[in-house]
Amino acid sequence: MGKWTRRAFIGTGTLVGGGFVMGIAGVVIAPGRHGIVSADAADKGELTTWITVTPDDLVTILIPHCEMGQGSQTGLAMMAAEEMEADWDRVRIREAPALDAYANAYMLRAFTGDSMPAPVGRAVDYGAYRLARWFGTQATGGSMAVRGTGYGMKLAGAAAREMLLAAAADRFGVAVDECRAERSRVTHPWSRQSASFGDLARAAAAMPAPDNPPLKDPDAYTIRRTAKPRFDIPPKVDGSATYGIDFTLPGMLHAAVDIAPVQGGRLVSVDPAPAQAMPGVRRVVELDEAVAVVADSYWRARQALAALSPILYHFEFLPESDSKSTSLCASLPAGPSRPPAIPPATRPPAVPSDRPRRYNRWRTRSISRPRTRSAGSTTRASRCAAPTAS
Amino acid sequence: MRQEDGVAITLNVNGQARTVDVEPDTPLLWVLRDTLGLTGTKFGCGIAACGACTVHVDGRAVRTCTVPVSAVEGMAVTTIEGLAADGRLNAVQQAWVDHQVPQCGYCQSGMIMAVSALLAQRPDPSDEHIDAAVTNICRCGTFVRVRRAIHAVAGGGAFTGSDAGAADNTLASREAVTNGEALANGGAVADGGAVADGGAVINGEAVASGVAVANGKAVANSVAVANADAVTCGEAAAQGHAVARDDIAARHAAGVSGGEAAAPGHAVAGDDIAARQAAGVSGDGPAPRDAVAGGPGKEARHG
Repeated sequence: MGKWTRRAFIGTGTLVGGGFVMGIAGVVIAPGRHGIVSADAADKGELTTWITVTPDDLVTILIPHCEMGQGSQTGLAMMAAEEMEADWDRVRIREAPALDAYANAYMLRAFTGDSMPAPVGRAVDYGAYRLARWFGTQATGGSMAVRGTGYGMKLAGAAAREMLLAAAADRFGVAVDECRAERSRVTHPWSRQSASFGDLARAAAAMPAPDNPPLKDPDAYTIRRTAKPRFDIPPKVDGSATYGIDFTLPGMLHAAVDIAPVQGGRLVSVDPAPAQAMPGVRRVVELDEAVAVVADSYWRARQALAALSPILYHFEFLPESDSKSTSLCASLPAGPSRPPAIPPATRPPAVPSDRPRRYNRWRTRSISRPRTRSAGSTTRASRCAAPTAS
Repeated sequence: MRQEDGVAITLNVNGQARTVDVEPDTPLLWVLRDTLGLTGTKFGCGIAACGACTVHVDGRAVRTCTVPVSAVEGMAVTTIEGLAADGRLNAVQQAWVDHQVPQCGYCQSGMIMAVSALLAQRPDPSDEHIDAAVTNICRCGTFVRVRRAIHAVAGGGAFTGSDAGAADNTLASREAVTNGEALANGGAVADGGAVADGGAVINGEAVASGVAVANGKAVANSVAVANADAVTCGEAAAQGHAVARDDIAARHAAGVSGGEAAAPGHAVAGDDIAARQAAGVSGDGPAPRDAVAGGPGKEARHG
């Protein structure tokens, strides 16, 4: 990856700091966030941060969010392609790399949309980007992808369109506003000249990205407001999609963990010998509140963990534990079919009677656990620390 | 830390002979995923309840997280990676694309395998057949589109391009997870902290799936009828009454219960849905040892 520059910002001196824009200077000089591209952007046909056009006319849109199945990657690509006037059949998506240049920038747009005046909005986006870079944030969640980043995608698509139009006008020797972009081609109707996005990409990528390109009238949408098949589905039906669990590294080890089932519980003791005698086991790790077995495969780790009989105390650190846990344990019927009682983790603090009371509801049976050993119980052999009724 | 305890086992996976060196009781799932690198088959619950790990063994849908690899030696295993031929999706996969079925997609490999097995056996299933045969769990709640896609494959229905989003009441209960209470679906009666699915009758603390009759603490594969403490891979304790949909499970049940279970005559093989439903509604009594399978039954073998 090349060196990253801010094209519209070169030489302007002081910048916006690590956070939100301070002062009028920041508002004035903040570059458009979507204009941040790599140093060799022109060679690669990189029009904006998020959009690359290659000579084969493929428009590749980088998406800085995970796809969890809600279709946001496809939706974001649609928002960019719409403004860009790209041929949807020639649009591809790629997940943005985990690099600073792709840090989240449009979080606030989820709340403001395009209601901010352009210079302010530009500064806010750039400030948010610097902040996200600072924290290394490239996050997905909270329905923020389309609502927030969608704004940036619109902007990036519109900027790319303007750059392609400008490149075409240069080539045709005509005025920009006489050119039209449609389905990944720029045409000049009067002179009957036209060029594809792929032909224009290098020249367009050498142009500055406009900060505030005009956005389309929603009534003119041809891609948005339609239902496009999601990009993420084909790999999900042939088994090729890579989920977190599918990721491997050479020599990767796996751990299985038996953790105290309530907060404040802790590991009292465990004899590691039974696990250590099992194939593939590398180590038994004792933690404050858990025991873990590390092995060369998850199944072996899990089997070895099941061979252990850790003593995990539930109640030790809970305030007022003695009387409460004693009575709770005493109230339990004997027999193995009942799980150990799980007491309320905390009690609501006493509040003055003139203030409204709010109690959290606790359900003592809300932690479910497999109750057969071979079923892969993760918390078996947990024991009640308080003495039971004699 | 001992060295490997594995033995060489030869499998037929997606038409290829593959020899693996693993402990023979390793679940087929982990052999497929970790040893053979076929990660399209997913790990979900580990107790054969959710169906994410479903593959085909000799054409039948099998939940691999509880099937020891040794039980399928020499049998034809097909995973999601093996469904497409020459780069062309099979009809079910194509319908899944056409109807945009997956959401997060994690369960869909298993879902597609279960549906493919159903359609191979019953090309035009009714909703009841689907309910009985496809008990896979999808937390995204794609069941409505799953059903629509199945019918489309069966009837050649066209993709309309939009999802009407019609509520499907019969499937609503399958998605519900009540907090510590019983979840009943399809006439199931559950007592205890159970999540039951399909025609299950459960009396105890159970996670059951498919057509199970459990009386006790059971974790039942979709093919087990248990009157015992547990029926699981590696710790089955069926008391002489295992009803297996196919010989794998029966063989397995026999193998892990000291040979008592799944004796020919008690074990009932076959895959007819009606027969399985009949088994499912027989309450908490002993297993329907003479339940008749409508399909071409195979006798269970001793493990």
